Amino acid sequence: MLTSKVFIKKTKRGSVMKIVREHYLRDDITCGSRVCGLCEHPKKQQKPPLEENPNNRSSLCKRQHYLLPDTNVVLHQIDVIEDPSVTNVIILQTVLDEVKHRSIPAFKRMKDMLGNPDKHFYTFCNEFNKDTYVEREPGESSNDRNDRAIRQATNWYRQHIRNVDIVLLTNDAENKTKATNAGLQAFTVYDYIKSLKDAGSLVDRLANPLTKVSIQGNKVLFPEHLHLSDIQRGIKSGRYHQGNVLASRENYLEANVSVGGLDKMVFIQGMINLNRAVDGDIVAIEMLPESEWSCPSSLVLVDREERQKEEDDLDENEKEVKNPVPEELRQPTGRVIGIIKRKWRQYCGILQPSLLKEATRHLFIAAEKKIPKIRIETRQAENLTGKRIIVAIDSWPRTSRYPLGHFVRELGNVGEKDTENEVLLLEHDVPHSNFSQAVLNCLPEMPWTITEEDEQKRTNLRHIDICSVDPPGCTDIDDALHCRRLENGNLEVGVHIADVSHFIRPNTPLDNEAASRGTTVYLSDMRIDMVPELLSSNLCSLRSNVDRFAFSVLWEVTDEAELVGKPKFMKSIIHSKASLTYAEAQMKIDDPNQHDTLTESLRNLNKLAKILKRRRIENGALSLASTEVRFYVDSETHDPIDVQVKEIRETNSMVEEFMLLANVTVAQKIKDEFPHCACLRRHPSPPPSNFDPLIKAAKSKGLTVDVSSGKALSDSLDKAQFPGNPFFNTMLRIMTTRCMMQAVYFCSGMLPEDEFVHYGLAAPIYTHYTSPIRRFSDIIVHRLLAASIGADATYPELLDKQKTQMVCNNLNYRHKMAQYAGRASVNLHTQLFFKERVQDEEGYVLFVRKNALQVLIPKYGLEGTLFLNAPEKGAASLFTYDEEENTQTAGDVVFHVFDPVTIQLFIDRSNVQNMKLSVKLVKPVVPGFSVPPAAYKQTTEPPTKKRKK
Amino acid sequence: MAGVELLSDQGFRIDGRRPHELRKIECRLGVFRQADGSAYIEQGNTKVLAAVYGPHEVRGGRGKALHDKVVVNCQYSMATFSTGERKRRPRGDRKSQEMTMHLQQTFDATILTTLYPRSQIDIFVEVLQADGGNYCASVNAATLALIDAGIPLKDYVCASSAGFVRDTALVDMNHLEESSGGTELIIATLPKSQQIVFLEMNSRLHEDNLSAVMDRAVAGCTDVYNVLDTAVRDHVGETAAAIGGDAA
Amino acid sequence: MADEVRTAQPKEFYRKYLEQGVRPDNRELGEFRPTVLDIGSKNGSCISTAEGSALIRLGNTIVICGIKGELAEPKTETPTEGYLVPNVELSAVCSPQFRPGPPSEQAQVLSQFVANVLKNSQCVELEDLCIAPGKMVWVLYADLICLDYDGNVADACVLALTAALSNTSLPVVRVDEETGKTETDFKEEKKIQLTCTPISATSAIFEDNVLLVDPTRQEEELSTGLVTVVTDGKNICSLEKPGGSPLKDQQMRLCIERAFQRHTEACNLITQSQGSTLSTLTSPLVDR
Repeated sequence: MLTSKVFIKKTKRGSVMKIVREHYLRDDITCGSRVCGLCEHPKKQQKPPLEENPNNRSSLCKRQHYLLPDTNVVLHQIDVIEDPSVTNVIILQTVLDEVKHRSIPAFKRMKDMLGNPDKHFYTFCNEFNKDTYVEREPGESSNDRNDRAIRQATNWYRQHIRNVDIVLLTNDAENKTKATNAGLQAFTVYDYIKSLKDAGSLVDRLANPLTKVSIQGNKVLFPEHLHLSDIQRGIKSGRYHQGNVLASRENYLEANVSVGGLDKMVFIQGMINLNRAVDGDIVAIEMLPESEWSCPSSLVLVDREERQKEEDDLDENEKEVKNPVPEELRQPTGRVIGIIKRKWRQYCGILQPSLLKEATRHLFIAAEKKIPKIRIETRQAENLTGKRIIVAIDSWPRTSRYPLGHFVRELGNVGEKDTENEVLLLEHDVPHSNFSQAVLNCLPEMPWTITEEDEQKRTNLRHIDICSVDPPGCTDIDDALHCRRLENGNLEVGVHIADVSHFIRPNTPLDNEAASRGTTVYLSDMRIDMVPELLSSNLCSLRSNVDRFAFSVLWEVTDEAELVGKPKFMKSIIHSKASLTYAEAQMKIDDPNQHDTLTESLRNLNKLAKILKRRRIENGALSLASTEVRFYVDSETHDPIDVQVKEIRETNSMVEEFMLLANVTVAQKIKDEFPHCACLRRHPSPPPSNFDPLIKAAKSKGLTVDVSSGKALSDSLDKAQFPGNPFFNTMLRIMTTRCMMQAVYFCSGMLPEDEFVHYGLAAPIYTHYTSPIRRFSDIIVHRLLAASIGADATYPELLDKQKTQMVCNNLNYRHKMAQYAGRASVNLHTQLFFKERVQDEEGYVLFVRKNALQVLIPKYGLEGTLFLNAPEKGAASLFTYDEEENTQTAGDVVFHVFDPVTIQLFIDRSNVQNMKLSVKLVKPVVPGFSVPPAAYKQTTEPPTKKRKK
Repeated sequence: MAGVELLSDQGFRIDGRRPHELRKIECRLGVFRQADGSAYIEQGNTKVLAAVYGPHEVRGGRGKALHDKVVVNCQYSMATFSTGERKRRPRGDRKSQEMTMHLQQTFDATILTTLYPRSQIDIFVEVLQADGGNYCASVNAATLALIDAGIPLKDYVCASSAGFVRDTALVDMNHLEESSGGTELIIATLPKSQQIVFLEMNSRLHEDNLSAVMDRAVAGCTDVYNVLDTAVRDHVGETAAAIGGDAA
Repeated sequence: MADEVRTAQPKEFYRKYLEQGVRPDNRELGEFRPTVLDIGSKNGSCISTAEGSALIRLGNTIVICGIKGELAEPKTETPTEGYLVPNVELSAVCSPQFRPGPPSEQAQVLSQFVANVLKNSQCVELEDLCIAPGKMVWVLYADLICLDYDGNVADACVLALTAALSNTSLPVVRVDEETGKTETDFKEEKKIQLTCTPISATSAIFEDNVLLVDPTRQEEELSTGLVTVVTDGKNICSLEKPGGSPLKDQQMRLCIERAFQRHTEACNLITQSQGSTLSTLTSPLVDR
């Protein structure tokens, strides 16, 4: 086993550390082709990936051939390579390693392709093959050495496989020449793709080749980027700084750079100073002399960018602030001198309408304003007008005002709900493709039955009157409850959670997929499941009148809700008697004529819940307002026709109370059992300074809010009432919510125990246990709990705190994104709802800002921003802002926090991509600013649609 | 989790080996004249010399002598130039002391100690170049040196290591693999009887995976044994030929 | 028979041989034992963790030398000079006469001898080891370990050291003037240039009148004195005769003549030696 290897040493030098590595060369690396008769292909694999009859559609290479791309082709043309029509590709180890070093996203995509059997991709480990390994020659750069290695491997294939040609794809002229001279077939990607018989849209997806820039004129617009080694030297000496570019949300020509070590962000303004940096890039910057410091244009001349003259590129120069900036506004300002790492990704947006119909060169406008326009080439511009498309950036040469990119794919028509939902999901990085076959293969076979073994392992709770209470239309029922009187007079309360971990076994494709998705995402009109529907809506869902597996927690309590003894945990089989909605449950409880066991059980639960809630609030738990809205959707058009704030009933609170109890109980249990690797959830207490806006706002109404502890805060919120404003308390609570920190999942081994607290719930320890169908954290918790009661085995990753923390990090990210996506979806629907309307509504001032009022519209639970800008550009604003008093004054009208206002809601259509809900002031009347009530304008608007309900 | 991928998707380790493959072993017995037995072994880039003196009378005070068995005295030492960064103390630091102890324990369990009461056997090990598996190479070299010295052993002692990366056990870890912070299990066995004379494991490993790692390491020991045994037989053949040549 | 005489009456045994002008191992009086040298190939030295290395087998005496480089600040009085620090270790591996523990007197004497050779011959210009004057210089540690002790370790050490230095290359290090931090060029390596190749030849004085070059351990034990001459081919770099029997001028000349002869032989060995591994240790011995 050892003799067959020749070995060469590779030496690498550290600073003065000498690192010596061995490098074994082998003769058992197979070529991966089915036509090869020389290699002994490993038996366990059914068939080598490369097919007998590969691509032969090219006019450049008439024979059948395999493709062999070099590193740059993989990096820059990955969208082409991803196309399903591109198959039978050999990826060299050299190429894969280089891709991994230069772009992790590209590497991940490459890995996906290699794992897809339909692509027929093969990784050839040329670095380990004795015939294809090349040693770096003295004076040879590593790039040249890699190119030589790629040619060597191509040549090896050419001699190894006679029946199929090998085509080397490279855009490097020198490499191509050398390859051709060596008798290899080598083409550029452009030539090759264009030579395909049915190239079609593939040509559009080609990355913009640098050479074509020259058409635009050779004027150099940007200063050169410094070389990486110069940058590094400069950073070491402190002359330059390294930081992340955070482009302004409103204007891509302004950005802040967060520099490690500096407490203030460095401001960067203008095209030249930004020097081709795009949002997210890691750049090196140089500080400008203080005399050239500037400030965001929004502070000097508001709303400048809103009036974009769309015509052409030229006006961008004018946008740069030329007039001197008043000294008090100046911020530390710098300029970009080099790019350390690009963080380009794919962007959603639309094509800018072009004047020339036949043009193939177009500008793409991203939906996010922080992204510059991107120049792309496409022949299907006509098809793409009015469509949402995805575009990727390829390069940004010094001669081009805009980055060059290429078309990736089309999403659908602008403004259509499906398209916009897709955009929303993409922008929030929500994985929403259909479940792969590998995942579906993990599902149990239907019809699913309970086996004898299951019966023995599980406690039978079928006889107990269990029911579930959920919102109407809920199909993924995670939880069910019961309460019954015991013989000793105490009550037994049970919380039964769907036993998802029974179906999702660790390290299966299903498990990996669920872990990656992390959570089910709820949009206003759709749900993106974390687990396949068979589980979420059927086998795991605790529907009524069927046997289901559950993970149960049982407590014995007195009528005063005092716990007796220890809680019991068990895997069980339940048979829910009813799936109730909150309203139905409420009706049962309230109906004095009903006395069946289920109703009694609900009444007891409700009674206990009230005690528990009271006790919890006494402990300092916060009850914070967050208004949720619900859309009534037209059954035919699926457009929203009414929007209302969701109603909260007693039963909501009842279910919530027992879920909290279960979560806390389980958290304690798994922490005791697995002190180092329990998956918990904490909510850090906010730093006192977070509360400043709240305290200030309350003070303006002569109230004090004590924020010294959760309990104090909760008490002072309860007391805070202001006559004449029914929403005063709610508004205070909304403000309090804004002061809070994010609650996060974490692994218990990573933090000291006193940081486990959940501030909002005033619980020393907390986790998520009750929704395993829609949250992956709960699945982990279920597994830990099952292991702790001996119902299931542990597995290595479960007990590894680093891995658990990594899972938690992903969950936190997904969770945040799911929330944002949910909010964005509500916004989208709000826009659709107000699309045809202009409406006046009552509102209250929630925040007073420098140039705007934040207004709460309680009827819809919406917030709108009322900009207090001057109506005409350049004119002085009518309003004066008093920072001390937190007021805005115009003439004799003064706006305080909590003041009632009447505002007019309408959709601002000035930007096709970003229609947004805007508000105008109706009352109180501010001459020259407020608008007349909507009723007067009714005639110009289409009649309001009839409402259902 | 840092940077390096110890096992690629294609199933190769950083140096091109597959998970079950040992590094290339070169070894030779009888490299020194002064010592009663000596051997040199290269396992990849790990290069180790071993010399055996004895059995001879106990040195350093008769008090140390044992009335029923031989005293096995080991010393492990690393040349200052054996590592990437210069080692200031070739021996006597904690790591070498520990290694010395481990060697002593291993060979106490293997040498037929009762045959030489009141005497002493010295085993000196010098690491010329270190690239992971220092203990294993030291044990293997010392075994050869003991055989060269003609000291009766229960069996060869063969040592090998195994780690666990991406759900796969890797045998014979090199320095880079060792220093990645994962699990490493070091084992010394008597290959014929499949007995374990020494076992050490650091870092955490789920018990489900233990047997896989153990099996890999034990298989590694068996592979090492085959190489060592060939070397011993070759050496004996050569020596016999030399003697035969003299006679003729 | 011969062996018993050799053990019981070694002097008598030797005298008999020397009367015939040969030594018991068939050498002439002025002949060195067969010498094998492993330096390494151009890809790296035989010990690849070291910056330079060499293994020498002089008869049955084996010495290995490894050179390691480190960065350090120079002395204030010599701001442009680096350091070259040799050390000889007579490890317990090499002979039953050495015990583990702190360096013996003999080892310390040898270390000093090697240091003197380096200093007197100036084969390495210490100024070549300077990176930034007054700020940073190279320290080269030359560690010599005797692995098998059969006499004349001094000659073996000098040859191993010279051979190792001659194939030592150091990475190119620069000091950034602004930051004072070091930067290492990973691609470049520079070989150390030796100004000369010091080689030593030691003779043992037997019975006050016979001079045996390159004495074995037994010859050393029987001798009444040792003479070591170090030359660089042109000059004599060092001459040592630590006590023992007095020598005539003519005998001294013979020693010097032998040293020059040895220099030519040794230089050929250094230039011819190739082989990336310690093949001396893994290949069968010629003379066993």
